[in-house]
Amino acid sequence: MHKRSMSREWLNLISPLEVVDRKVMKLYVIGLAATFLILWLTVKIQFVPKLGEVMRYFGILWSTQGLMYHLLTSIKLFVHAVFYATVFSCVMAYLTVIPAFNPVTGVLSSFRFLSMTGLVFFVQVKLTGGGYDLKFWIEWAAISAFLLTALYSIVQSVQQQMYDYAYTLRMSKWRAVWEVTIRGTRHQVLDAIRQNMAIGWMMLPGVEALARGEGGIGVMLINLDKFMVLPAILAIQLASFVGGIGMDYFMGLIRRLLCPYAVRAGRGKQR
Amino acid sequence: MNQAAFALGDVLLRSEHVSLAFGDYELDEHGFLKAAEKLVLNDVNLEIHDITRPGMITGQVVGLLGPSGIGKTCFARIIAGLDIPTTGQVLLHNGQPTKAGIVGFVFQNYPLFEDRTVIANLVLAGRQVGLSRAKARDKAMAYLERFKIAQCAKQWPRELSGGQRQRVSIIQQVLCSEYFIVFDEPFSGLDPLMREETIAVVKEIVNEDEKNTAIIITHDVSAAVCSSDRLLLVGRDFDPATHNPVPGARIKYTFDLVALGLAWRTDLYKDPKFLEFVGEIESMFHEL
Repeated sequence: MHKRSMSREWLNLISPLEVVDRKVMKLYVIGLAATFLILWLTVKIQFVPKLGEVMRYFGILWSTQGLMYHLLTSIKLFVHAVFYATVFSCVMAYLTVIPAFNPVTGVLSSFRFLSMTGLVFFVQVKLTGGGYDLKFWIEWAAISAFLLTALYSIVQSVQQQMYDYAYTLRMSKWRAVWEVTIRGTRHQVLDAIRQNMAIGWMMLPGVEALARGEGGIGVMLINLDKFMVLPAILAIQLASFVGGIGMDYFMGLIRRLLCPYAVRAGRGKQR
Repeated sequence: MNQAAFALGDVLLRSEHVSLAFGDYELDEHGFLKAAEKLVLNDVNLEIHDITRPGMITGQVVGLLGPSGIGKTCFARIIAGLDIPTTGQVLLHNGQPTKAGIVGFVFQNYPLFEDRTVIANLVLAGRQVGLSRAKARDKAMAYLERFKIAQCAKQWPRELSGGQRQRVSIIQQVLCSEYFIVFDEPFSGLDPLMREETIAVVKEIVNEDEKNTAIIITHDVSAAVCSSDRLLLVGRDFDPATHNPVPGARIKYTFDLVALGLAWRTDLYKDPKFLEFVGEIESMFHEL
């Protein structure tokens, strides 16, 4: 009986819209990771260096080429840009509860269709603060354009009924904005920030290539690209990946801390 | 129960010439609606009196019945101060115009602040009327215990069942409003047992204070008859020549359930007169 139900649990893995047992899913993920690692260790694929070689280069880059310094430089620039992009996007998105700001935010949100190269020219002409400022403003603009679009959509999707509900509790319009638009959507806002952080992190090496003096993961990648040192490139990608996953995990923790009401229940287990 | 021993007291809520139009409209020299692009409500007048019975506290329950889309919810929103009528006004017992918050409104899908626990939602409502945090909490807990959902106090709204959510929503509006609560389709999608429980909750809330008044918007005739002391049928007039409905709903029929011997009774379901009356009202829907 037990065997049969276990085999059904495994079958659920390949059936649409099924709820899979946690233990089965855990075993499946471990199995996938192990298979991937074994293949990487044993099978030779053109252009894909072996795991051992990548790790050897990781050690070299870490100890002699300042990989940690470059990673921290990238994280510093990234966190700086994300912080300001978040503040700017939240303010502009929340302001759309005032009709006069609606078209302004709508236009700003459409800036995501602008080319980055054109922005670089504009920022270079206007700014005199050096390479860091250039990179900061480009990264800020890139994250803001997408984050603002996401947050604008969240604010606009709040149903009128929720505001009416706030009025029935004797709330003023500003209090309703605080309770419904700001407090009530914070889990969605944090999700949007988290997703846009991932996009921003992916764009960062490209932005760092604009001014290379201060270093950063992007600068390291460009330098190594020239010489096609594939194991080293993969080692940096690995560092970038771990850094990104770490920040994503951190954001997940913040979300869980600030929005305990929105912790996702498993599909099929919700009431 | 002596049904005859009752009296009508002061007017608690009055709707005076309430009309609601969308799009362009034109008023006459007296401020009444002359023409409108889309007329929803046309000159709706209503008075709800305080019903008094010797030796007991009796609140008022008014059932507002009518076909879907006729404008019941529009009228209810005006009563609750959520919308402003194109003409006319709704006045409360003190002569003041209605205002959101003074008149509570229990929405059909029972919204709550999802980022607050049940007790935090209720304390918030209590705080809005000036209660201290401790007093609001005590009052909220007393209601939760009375409605047998005290175990839900620390739960998030998304963890509640439909019935529990409905009760929390009602308690929240009771804590915040001043005597009047509008219920928008409270019986929609409920099984017979839940419907009975909802009627009991409404009656219990209403009979807490002499001035307490519930206005129930529904198209569930039997539930409306069971819960109300007065029924109002909302509908449109028909053009005698074409037999097409004329735009603009109004209160077409009023039934005093106390006079009919159908109010304040617990054994109503067993009375053949009740079934007969429900059938009569249902058949009248064709004329609305």
